[in-house]
Amino acid sequence: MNFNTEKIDKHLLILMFLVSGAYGYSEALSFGGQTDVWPQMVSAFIFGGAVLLLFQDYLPEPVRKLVVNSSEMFDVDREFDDGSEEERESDMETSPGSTKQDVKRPLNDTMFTALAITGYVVVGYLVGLLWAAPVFVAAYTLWFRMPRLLVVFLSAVSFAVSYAFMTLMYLSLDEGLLFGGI
Amino acid sequence: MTLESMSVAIDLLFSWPTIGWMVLGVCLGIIAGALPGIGASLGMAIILPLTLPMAGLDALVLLVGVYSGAMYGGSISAILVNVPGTGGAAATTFDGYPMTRQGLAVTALSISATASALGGSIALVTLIIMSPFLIELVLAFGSPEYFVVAILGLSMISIVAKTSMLKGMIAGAFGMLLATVGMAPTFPQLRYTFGSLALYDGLSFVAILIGLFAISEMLKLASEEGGISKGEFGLTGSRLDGVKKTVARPVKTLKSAYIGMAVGAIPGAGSSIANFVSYAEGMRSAKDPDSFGKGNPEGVLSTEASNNGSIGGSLIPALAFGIPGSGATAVLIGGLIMHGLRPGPTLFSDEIHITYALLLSILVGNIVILAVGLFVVTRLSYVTTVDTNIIIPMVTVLAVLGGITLRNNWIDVASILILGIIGYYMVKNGYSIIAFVLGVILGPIAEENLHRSLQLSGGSWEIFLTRPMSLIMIVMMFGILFGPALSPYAKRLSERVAS
Repeated sequence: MNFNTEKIDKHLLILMFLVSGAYGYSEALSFGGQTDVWPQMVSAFIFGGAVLLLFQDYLPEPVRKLVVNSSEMFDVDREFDDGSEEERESDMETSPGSTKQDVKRPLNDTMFTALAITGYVVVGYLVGLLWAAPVFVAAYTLWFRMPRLLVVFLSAVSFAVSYAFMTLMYLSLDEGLLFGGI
Repeated sequence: MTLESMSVAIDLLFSWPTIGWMVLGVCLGIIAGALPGIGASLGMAIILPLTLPMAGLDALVLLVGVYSGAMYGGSISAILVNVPGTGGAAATTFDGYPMTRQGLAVTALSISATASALGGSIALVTLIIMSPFLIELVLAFGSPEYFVVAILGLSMISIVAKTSMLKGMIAGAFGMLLATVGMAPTFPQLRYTFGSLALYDGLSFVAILIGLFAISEMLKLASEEGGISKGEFGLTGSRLDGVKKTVARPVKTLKSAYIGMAVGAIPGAGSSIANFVSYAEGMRSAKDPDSFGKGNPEGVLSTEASNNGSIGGSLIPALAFGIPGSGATAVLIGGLIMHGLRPGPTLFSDEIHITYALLLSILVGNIVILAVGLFVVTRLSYVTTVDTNIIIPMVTVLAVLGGITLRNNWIDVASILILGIIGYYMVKNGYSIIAFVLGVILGPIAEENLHRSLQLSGGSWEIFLTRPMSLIMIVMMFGILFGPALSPYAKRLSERVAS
């Protein structure tokens, strides 16, 4: 089954705006002291704008133009992009290590990075950022098949940096929810 | 401008350790600009939490040093390997890289250093001379004007960003909504806290910046593959030749610096647009425009003078109204607020010496840029060979540590993570991150001034229409938002009238 991930991303974002606009507006009804005015204005705008984006293909042409088009105030990119883009692409092809993901992995690089960062934060919350940092750096660099010596070096540096933060900023980075308590 | 304030500013700047922080900032900025995927905004966002224990002026001088240095640093990889280190160096590749291919890399780097130093200095001197007029303008602004200028700032970014205007406005409004979390500014009302104590103080603006500029950028970099360069570039050419070529073109340098300053003052425009506009003008006014794109030194000069010139421009709305002219000035505003300084009248009255010290630090920083650019850059060029798979985890570690440092609050770390991911998808789908950041910054300014204005007018919205400056800005805003859609009709009407 093929998924058009671009369309999914696009609609997920619009859904996020719809939900945040609707929730923001309804929740603001309970605010007192005129503190509801601004959140309601902003939420209504987000909701209305998201609705327009969702149904942009069905809008009358003049409205659709306003919704979809950029203002083209500074149109310089169009003038200059063509030549330099071709040259840049040909240079990128000839220089080693410059092509996109050429080793097949189960996850694409961006997805892995997002998951790794999430894992780092979660593990850091549970056991302490001091211990999570070298694990994250090691896992990340091993995934991208960096030399072992470099992996060890970078993990050590990340530990040292975290230790420095802990000492200089008086933070309890060696404690987490499971050990030490937050 | 009083001589006394300027004298105090000079004393402050040239004292130790302030001058040391300035030099360090410029050097760090040059490295940040040269490293692929880093740049001024990210470099400043990472350093910002680390400035917490520092004295206010030292922190600000460090941050503007990074800003200024990164503007130049972006040209190093642009010239050597055809990949701009920052958005402001994109147009530098057009002639900088061909010069490298012709064996003139050192000449190009020298032109870049000299033009950056001169362009930045010209803009700063102009800003210092303009400051008395700026003070008068700032003092003439009341609550209604501040509200309207906040909305105007956001509407301007929605047209400058190369995306749908509606998407830009939605991104900005979303930022404004996030800024309402926590205690309301005008009444003891908790908003959107879900009963959590951790959200009582709202979301940290710095954490949002780190998420948007650091994490989302690292996610983007992960998809672009590391190893921009393997160090295979020839460093030949003449430093002196580069300096002479720049100094021999004072008109072009001056023009480029002022283009940078003017474009940089437009919220959200910044150096990434200034360098293209300046390049286009440089080509238009050149004696041999056909040689542009083939290694014409004037191409490098135009872009580099303008991107450092844009620093002065972006500081105008930032210091006067708290409206960032670029992502980097958004971080700078965060730094000002973090260290107890509010953009606006105070910075131009009681704290004018701080403002002057800040501006002078950029002026002096340009000398450091010139020195580094001419004498050290051949060694610094190896920075462009750093693999992005090394940069990504290290920047992530610094970003997360920076987040927890802010308030020792895990909500800030969660904000960094969540907004980093949201920011990545927003950019991927054509939403403007700068508009989002502007919304976060301008939201509280707009709300506070809206409330104050309505209190002054007894609840009447006419106050925004009866004050001349406010009315002018409202008309400007409508023109900006609806002008592009209405211009075909206006053109048809004028053709009909003419015929």
